Amino acid sequence: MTNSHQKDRIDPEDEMVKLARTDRDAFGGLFDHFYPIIFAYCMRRLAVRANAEDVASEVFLRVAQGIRDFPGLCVEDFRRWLFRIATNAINAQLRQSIRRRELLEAAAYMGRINASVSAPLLDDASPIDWHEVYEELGSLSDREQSIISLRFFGGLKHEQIADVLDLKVGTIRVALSRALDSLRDRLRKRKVERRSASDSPRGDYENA
Amino acid sequence: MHDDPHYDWEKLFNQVPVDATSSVEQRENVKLRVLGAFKSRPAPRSRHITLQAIGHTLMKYKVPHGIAATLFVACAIWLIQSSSTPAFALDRLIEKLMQAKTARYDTIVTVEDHSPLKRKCFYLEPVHIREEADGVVTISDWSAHKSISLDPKTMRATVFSLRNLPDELKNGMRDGNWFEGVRQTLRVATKDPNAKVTSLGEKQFDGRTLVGARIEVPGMPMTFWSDPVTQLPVRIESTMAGPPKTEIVMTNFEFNIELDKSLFSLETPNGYTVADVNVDLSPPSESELVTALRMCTEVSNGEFPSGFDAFSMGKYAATYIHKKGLDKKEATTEQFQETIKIARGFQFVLMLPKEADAHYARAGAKYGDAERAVLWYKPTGSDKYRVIFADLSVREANEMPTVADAIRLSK
Repeated sequence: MTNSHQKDRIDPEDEMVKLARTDRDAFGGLFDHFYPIIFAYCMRRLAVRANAEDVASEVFLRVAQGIRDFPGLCVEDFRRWLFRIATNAINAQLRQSIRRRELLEAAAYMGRINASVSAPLLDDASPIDWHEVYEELGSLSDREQSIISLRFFGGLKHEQIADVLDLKVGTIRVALSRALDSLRDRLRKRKVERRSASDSPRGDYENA
Repeated sequence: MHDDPHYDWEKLFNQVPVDATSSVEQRENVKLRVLGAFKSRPAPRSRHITLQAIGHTLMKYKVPHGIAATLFVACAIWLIQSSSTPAFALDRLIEKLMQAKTARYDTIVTVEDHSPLKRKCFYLEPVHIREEADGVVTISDWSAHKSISLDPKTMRATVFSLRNLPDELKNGMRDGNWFEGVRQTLRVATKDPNAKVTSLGEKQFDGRTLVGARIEVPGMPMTFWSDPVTQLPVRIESTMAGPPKTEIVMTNFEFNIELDKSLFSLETPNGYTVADVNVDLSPPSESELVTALRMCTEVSNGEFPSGFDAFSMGKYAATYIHKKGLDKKEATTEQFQETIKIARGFQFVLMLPKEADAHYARAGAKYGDAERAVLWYKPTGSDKYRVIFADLSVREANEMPTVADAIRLSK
């Protein structure tokens, strides 16, 4: 009864998505609602404001050009479409070495992660830098990066990520766990390497 | 302790030290640009406008007249097949146009950065059309499923015969002409709840007072000037925002005039060399799509077509003709048939229903990669996907391939 009632109810946001195909004001309304969300997603992933602004505007320009042919019926369809375009655009940016370098330079200024946050993850109380997290995140596959980004930078649920990436929910769950395990391993390895490096000056000196 | 197994990661990423709020000024700037793009985006094109645009694509590529006509006919057929008939709802002005039994009129099509293309057109009910441009005459009778193109300079005639028409198309072919295309556009425009009709009052054209009305169809406003006494349309102006921006003016209308039936004869005059082109309208097959993809990749460095729309169809066919040197030879029936293959292959994709769950993933795909899925769909009644790979092999799969930039094709 409740479900049926919910199905019959017309959601004003869904109506706005339908209207936005032909109505400029409705499209403007969708822009106002979603731009901050997409910008925040791009900003957290790319770390450089200018690059995040470029990608976010590129996303909405593509949407403006394609909205008439957009086959979705509701606001969730629209969200999925936006995040798909944004994720592809972010990945395309990060395939450029100059953008990767800019991201890591920006991350270098972010400083250290609070040990109370990083310690439970890495089973180690010594701190890690944001720079290291971004660098290791970037060494994962495009798909792994996309899943992690959508989950933690975009704040999407597994089901939503599955829709965005056209994968099954189970696949997303497994892939996310594996990607995070991989990221954890890489960060731990870095810690070990850092520790060895900090121990090494004396050895280096002796060798010299 | 926490339901989410990744709670610790969430906590970590929540602390990314960036200011993720967008500035108001920047957001407003982007909004202006985005709404500008929204305003100027191409509107869905009516069939006759689409056909004109295809014609210009072919002109741009300097395709020989006969082959261009072949593609034009092929695309026209696709457009007829892929459209539905809207409900009959006309205002009084349009009724006048609808009731015309014969007509003579001129069309001037101006595509941005191109010189205007002028055509003299004749219409005889029910579906006879004669168009004259640069000495070339094209006569069509879609009820007879036939069209002939005559080039007096080269004394060549191209005869198009439509074959294997599906039952549902036999009546649908009636409106496959320019004149009916305009009527159809007006019907749709007057039926569209988003179309705004504005009275423009009186205006002088060549010393004649006309009354105007503007129909605001998004991306393609149409201005309709009529004689205040007879209420017959005198001048119809439409603008397609593009890109490219295209202006179409239909003018010098004469309705219900005497027109000799011989003007619409489909007989080939004596002395002409004839090329017969059979246009197969039976449902295209998957293998025809593969053939079309092969032809496209052959002439575009192994890259797959950018789309399957009518414009891409014209573009790839024209490119194929050039790269294969067909435009340098005397046109033959076989060459015409070659170019139609692309149209039929594309048509296969365009006719896939929603249930086919068709996807296309061309980005980064290059011809020859046997492991890269490019296009997949579910045939009607099948649980399995047919997957076309970049080497153009086709395999069945229980699940759809995972390719990051795949786009859904199904209607």
